[in-house]
Amino acid sequence: MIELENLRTIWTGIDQKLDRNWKLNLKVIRQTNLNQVRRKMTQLIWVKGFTLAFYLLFTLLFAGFAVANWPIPHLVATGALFALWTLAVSVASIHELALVRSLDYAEPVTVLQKKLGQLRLTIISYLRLGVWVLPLNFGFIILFFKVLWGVDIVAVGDPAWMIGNIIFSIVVFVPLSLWLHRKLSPENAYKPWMNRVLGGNGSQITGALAFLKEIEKFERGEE
Amino acid sequence: MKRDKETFLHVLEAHKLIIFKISNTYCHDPEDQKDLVQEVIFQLWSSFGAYDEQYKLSTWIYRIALNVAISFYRKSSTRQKHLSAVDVSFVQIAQEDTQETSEDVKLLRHFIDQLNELNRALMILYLDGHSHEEIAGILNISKSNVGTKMNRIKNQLKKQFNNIEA
Repeated sequence: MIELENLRTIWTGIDQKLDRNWKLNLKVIRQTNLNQVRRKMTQLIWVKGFTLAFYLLFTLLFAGFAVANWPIPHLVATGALFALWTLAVSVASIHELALVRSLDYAEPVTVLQKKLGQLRLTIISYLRLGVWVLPLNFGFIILFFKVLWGVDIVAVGDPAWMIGNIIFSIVVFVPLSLWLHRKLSPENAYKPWMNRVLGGNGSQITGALAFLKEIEKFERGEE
Repeated sequence: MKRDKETFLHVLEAHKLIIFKISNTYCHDPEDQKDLVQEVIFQLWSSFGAYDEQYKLSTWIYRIALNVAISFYRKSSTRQKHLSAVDVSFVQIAQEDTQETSEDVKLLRHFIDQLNELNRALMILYLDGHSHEEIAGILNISKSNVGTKMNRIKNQLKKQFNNIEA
């Protein structure tokens, strides 16, 4: 019967074998530019930074639209709603950027692995935020006419058509967004339709979620 | 301590066995093992400038190597093979004489393979002679949790060996 303590002796044997059979090629390492990881990380931070700047810029533009059209209620509301939506995406983007910047492989194992898992799940937050642009469809029409031609479509359009559009948004798109928001959960990532939405990365999301649960159990001493 | 490449190479040479052991435990395919060693070295160099001297160098290397190995292991099914642009390998692995491998070694490897990634890290640290306190620090769990897990692994091990003997 092998006891846990005896395993250390066997393990030492494996050590000796590795020491004999594995050789570090210091000459190659010396000649190699080892900055690949640093470069990749810098690129990633720049990409995330640009994305954040893009959303913040649009938040300012929409807020500016609302301010410029004060006190016309429907124009102010349109600008404010779009500004709120891009602000929410910006907050998600800030969270993602902060997570990327905080990655440190010298951190304890469970700490870093949790961050990596959370980072893989951020795509779900973006998808969920994305569906909330659907009820704003009439806002797009208002913005389109006002920004491109300076026309206030609500002031000149057919009231029945506009009311119909607004009711349609409230009755159809709000429940649809709510339904999609619930459906687009990490727990559904294994389903074929969601895997397609995620560009074939569904298994990664499912894996990340399962691993996060595994880490929590490990930390609590359950497994 | 200087943070230049020569110092880094000295550190690497002095602690290479930690990297080898972790790569050998998390991967079986020699090409994967070489890739993992390479990724660990890239990550070590990337973090070398920020190395906090309040920790032992070996502790710092264990943390990084285990973190890279677990990430590598988890993405191995989807990752592109040989990600880096380096053609020549950082490590040479001589063909192992399988006949030399004892039954005990095979059983130990089989047992470790059955553990999940986190328990595998715990087992490596235990087998390398780390105290419960050190293991707790590297994994960020409590000391008592380490003790509980080691007992659980011990029981699992007894069960497995009893099954083999039966």
